[in-house]
Amino acid sequence: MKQGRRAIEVAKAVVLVTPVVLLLWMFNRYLALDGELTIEYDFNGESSYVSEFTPLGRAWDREENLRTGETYQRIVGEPVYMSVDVPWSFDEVEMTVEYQNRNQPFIQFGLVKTTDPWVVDLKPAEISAIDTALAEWDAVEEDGVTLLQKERSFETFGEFVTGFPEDASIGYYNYFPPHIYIDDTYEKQAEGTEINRLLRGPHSFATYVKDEPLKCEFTVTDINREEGEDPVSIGVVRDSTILHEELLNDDGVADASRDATGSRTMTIDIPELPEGMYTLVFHANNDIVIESIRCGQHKFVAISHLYLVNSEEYSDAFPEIDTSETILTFHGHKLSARTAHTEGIQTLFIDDQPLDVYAVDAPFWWEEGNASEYHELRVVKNDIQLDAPGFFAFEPEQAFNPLYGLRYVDETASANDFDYILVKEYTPPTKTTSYTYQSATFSLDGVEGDRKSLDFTIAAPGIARNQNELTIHNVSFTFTRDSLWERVKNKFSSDK
Amino acid sequence: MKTDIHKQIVFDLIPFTFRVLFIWYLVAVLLELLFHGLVSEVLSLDLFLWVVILLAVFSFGIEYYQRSQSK
Repeated sequence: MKQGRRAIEVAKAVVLVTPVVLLLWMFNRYLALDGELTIEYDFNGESSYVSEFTPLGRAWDREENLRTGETYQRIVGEPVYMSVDVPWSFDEVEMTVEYQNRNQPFIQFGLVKTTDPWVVDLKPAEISAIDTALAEWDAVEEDGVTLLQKERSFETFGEFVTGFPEDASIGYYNYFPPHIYIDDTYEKQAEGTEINRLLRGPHSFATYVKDEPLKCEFTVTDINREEGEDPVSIGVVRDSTILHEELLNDDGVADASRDATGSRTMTIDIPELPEGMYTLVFHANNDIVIESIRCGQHKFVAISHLYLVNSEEYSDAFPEIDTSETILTFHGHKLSARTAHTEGIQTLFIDDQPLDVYAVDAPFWWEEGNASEYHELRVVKNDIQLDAPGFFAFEPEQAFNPLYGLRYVDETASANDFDYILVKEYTPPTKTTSYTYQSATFSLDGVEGDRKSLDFTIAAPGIARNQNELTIHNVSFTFTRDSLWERVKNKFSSDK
Repeated sequence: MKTDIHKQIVFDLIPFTFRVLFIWYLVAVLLELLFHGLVSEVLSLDLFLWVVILLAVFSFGIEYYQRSQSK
């Protein structure tokens, strides 16, 4: 009997003490006294800290496998966003995702740092071209850069840099090789480049210089469609170094009056430059329209982006606007076209293949397997933004590939496209028979606001148009900062 | 004799656990309102409530049984 009473007392003590211990542990976790807070979300119901992936359409509603009881969310478009609200500010976060990948060759995880301007810190999650090369090719690592070779030709990375294989196809990711290609076939010509099509907003151009001055003249107009000042700068860049910068102040009209204030000219004139490719970075907002470009160089292409304006939509700013079609030479294997106005709804032709742009503010894609071909691109109505991992020339004679044998490893690349791949800061994901696991660490420095409301993203280019799919089963975030003890210590040491 | 001990343990412990957990449930809800995510990120408040309800049912059942036995 006495034993029974004793057992009851012990059991009651356990019932009383357990919640207290649990509460203390919960407070320790919540307050992150040890400097760490881990939040996990398995898509089973709602979470206090984590939202499911949005927007709907790109991400489906949460689902449950009724046989196994597993919960998950399906991703069919990109990018998708997940909001995480934490009670305190932290310094760093590690995002770990458990997922199943159905044929998506390129995935990145990201953290939105600022919304205006839109800045996202993207980290690689899964790149199948590099994964294949890492598994099957020879690898040499130096200073964090991994050189992958289909056939082992170089013993060290240093050998690769000194004996750079200019004729080889080289893929790069997170690392651009410090090599300047010299085109032995290039000869300067008396006749340079003249472009009289209207181009809106920021652009980058590439040109080639050999035994000649780099002389370019940009005529620009401020159309004042948006609020704010519209300064312009043109930077001359070689091997990631700005050699020269030309500036033009705002026209003095800062409001959205839609008054075009006339043409102004910016001139770049650099007499002597070493031979090679140079980039002209035209930095401006969408109120600035380039009316014409005149350049002494005869090789001249726009890099990755072109915003063609010659349309009735802009007749208020340019009453005598030429609305005839634009015929471009395009080098690349995929292209997106987007218009902001109903006047821009049209059908483009890429080597006579039609690309229908049938809605405003939506990208329409064209894609082809071969990355190294030139195409004729016919833009019938203009008023369109073209984006591509490639180059646009206004005349076939002006076209050249400023990257030469280099190609960025993107979702359309496969290991077979390359002889070498240069990669930095990439660890392939861990794969089991059922799931893939990948982590990415983000610094929270530079995140706007109080760093308690964070937006994470999964970018999977091409997932919708190739009808690929990701199913996300679990996402966990480990936030870290100094422990309470370290913060107290730092406080007192900094006060001294 | 042994069955009596077990019976006593159960009859004593279940109402006690119910009372303790009922109070802790109220505390947990209050804390969750004050510190969003403190409790709900660790344990399900819905599940907690169901446990309390279940204990309440057993507890009142035991009380009813004991009253009927003492008559």
